[in-house]
Amino acid sequence: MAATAMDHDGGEVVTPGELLGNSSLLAGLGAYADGRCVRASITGHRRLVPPPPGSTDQRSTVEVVGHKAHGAVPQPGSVVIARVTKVMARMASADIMCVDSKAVKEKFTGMIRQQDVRATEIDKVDMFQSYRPGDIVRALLSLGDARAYYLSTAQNELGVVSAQSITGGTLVPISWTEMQCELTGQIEQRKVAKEATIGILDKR
Amino acid sequence: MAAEAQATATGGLAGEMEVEAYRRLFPLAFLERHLRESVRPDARRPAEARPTTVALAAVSSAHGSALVRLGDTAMLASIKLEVMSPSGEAPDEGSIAVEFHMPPICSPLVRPGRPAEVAPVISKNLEDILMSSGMLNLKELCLISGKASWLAYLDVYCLNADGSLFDAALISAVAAFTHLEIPLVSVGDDGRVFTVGGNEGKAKYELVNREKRKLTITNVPFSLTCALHKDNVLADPTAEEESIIETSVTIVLDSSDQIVSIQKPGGAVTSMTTIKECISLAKDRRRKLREILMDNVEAMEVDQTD
Amino acid sequence: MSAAATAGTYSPASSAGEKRRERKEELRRHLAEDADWPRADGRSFHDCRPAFMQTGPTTAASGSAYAEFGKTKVIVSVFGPRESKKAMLYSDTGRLNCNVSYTTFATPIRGQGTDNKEYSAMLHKALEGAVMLHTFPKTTVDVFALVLESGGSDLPIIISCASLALADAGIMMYDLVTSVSVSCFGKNIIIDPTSDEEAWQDGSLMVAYMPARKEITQLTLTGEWSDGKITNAVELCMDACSKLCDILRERLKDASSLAE
Repeated sequence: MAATAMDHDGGEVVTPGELLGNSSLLAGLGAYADGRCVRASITGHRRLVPPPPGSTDQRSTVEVVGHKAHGAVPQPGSVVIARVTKVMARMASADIMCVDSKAVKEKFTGMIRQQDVRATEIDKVDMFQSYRPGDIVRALLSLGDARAYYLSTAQNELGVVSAQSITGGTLVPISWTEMQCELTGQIEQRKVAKEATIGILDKR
Repeated sequence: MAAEAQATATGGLAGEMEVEAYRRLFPLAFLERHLRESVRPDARRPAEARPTTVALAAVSSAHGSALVRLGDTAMLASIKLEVMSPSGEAPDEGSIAVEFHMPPICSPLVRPGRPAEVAPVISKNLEDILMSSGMLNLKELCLISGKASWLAYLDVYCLNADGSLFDAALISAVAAFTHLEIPLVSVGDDGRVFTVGGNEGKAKYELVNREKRKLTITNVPFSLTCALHKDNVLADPTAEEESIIETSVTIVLDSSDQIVSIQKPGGAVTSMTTIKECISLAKDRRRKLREILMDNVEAMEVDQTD
Repeated sequence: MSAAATAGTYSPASSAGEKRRERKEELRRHLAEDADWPRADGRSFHDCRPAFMQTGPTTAASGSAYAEFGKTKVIVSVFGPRESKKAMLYSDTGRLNCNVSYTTFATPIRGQGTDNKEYSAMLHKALEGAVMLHTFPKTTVDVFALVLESGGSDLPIIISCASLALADAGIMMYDLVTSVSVSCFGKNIIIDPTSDEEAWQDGSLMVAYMPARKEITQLTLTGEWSDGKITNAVELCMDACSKLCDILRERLKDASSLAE
């Protein structure tokens, strides 16, 4: 195989199962090792990535860059944007709408447990003083149980990034536990994310 | 390493957010931003319907069929004829049975074994419109008065659901009836009806329906659905627009622009001016749809004479 | 007939019924005894029908495909990976869920078997080994097939169409899966049978195959077969599967270059 000639984005298009090379190559994204050869697992352009300088393994990696990868799937460690749907005494449920800033086609159900709301004094967390249905929350995902993904907001950057007050005005963060209504000046309690903005939202 | 990845991921998120993500999180704000510029998310003008195509004779296992595309919405309508004994009240009439299907292939919202809630509503509306518009003369479906007549099973399948399902279903139903070819039949000694094919058969058997091979379709109903949001009238809404906007009006007009039905299922209060605007849009749309259908029927007839 | 009679309506039989039966007998004799008699649609014994396949008919799905072989017409939509609807035990791997249904007008008599449980299970078995379930933990990929018109070899066509739809959805796979069936008539084997041929066959054999890896994912056999004929039939199917797979790969490459 003239593998070295393909070292650019415009590599030939391959489809699942097609041979990409032998075991002198490592299988990267969209590829898999099958005994002594490497095959494609998705449709896309074949691309060769040279080994990082100083690496002990001198083999190049072959990967397939798909024109149409499937929608984002939540993975442990993903940062997600979710909309709170229900708040209960020990947990809040939320619909995951974006995974690593990519919109998901269909929502996934997440759950913020009381102990995952913040990093300190976790036993004193009042769920109703932290989240309200409709809040948009940035959270860190772990796989969770059979029913839902667990979401954690126990970091400064995590928590509410966009919310509306009871009267329907936009809430502006004033501290990491408080937000103020633009219309009425009333203050509401939230677990606020540091930099409680998500880009485009400011320009609304 | 995981912590480092998290930090960069959160940092990147604050800086830029993809348009698709914004569209998903704030659908109403996204739509309103477009409407302020008098343009819709799919680049249409508010009053503009999507490109519409009709293909007759889509499946060969039916007596009449049509595949209709309304933008990305796709409908396959098929008519199968079976013989029935007419009821005592209408001994010289046939009958139609309408069913609208939303199979799981057509939308992420439908799952096997859990039929879509809107499907029976659309079935009922379709049947009502086909019967009340006077498009069909049920007497033409009679074979032998009091003994045998046709029952036309109309099955409409939604193959891809992207909004304005009723409008697309009605176009496909009308097109399938236009395409319907009634088989030549004769009656056996046992009183059962059988089909006669080939020239030899035509000479050998006494035919029941030599003259009645095509239905006379006189008063064709067409519809237009408009989604109503504040002062905006959005003709032929997509699934995304329908999911954001609660209020919609469906106007059905017949060949002489007479109103067959107006439906506004719930939603916000609407002014008469807005309804009138919808009716006027529906009139334009009806003329356009009639042209599209006639072009296809003519093309079909040319094909057959070749 | 009796089922139709109880429903109060019936599909009229054809006046040519008697003659068709005679013709069937004659054709059956040719298929079973002669060397390579042309079939009702003009094909020779080892010719498949022209395969028309296309990606992307259903925009509402993550991926989709349409297949048309003679009168057989199938649409497959793939949804997901998405949240599993069925309550189930925690699982590190993903789940593949398959469903096959027929339109009411797919078959000559209206409304026969709209939901096909047997085909759903067989489709699942044929695809399961090809899909990298570990790449979408805890979630489900739904594969839904609708047969618009049944014209013979329905299941193999559904399987091939589903594998094209999965690839279109970007679901990671070890290989594409294509499937072809043959019918046995006396000493002869005919490939890609129509509904009529399936109705009078002595036996049938279907192979689902991953052509690049040269692995069979499913093999079903009914009727009477001798050992030698089985080997012959499987080889015939595998060869046809490889050719069909080339068509699938072409379609995927076309779609890929269109997207750019």
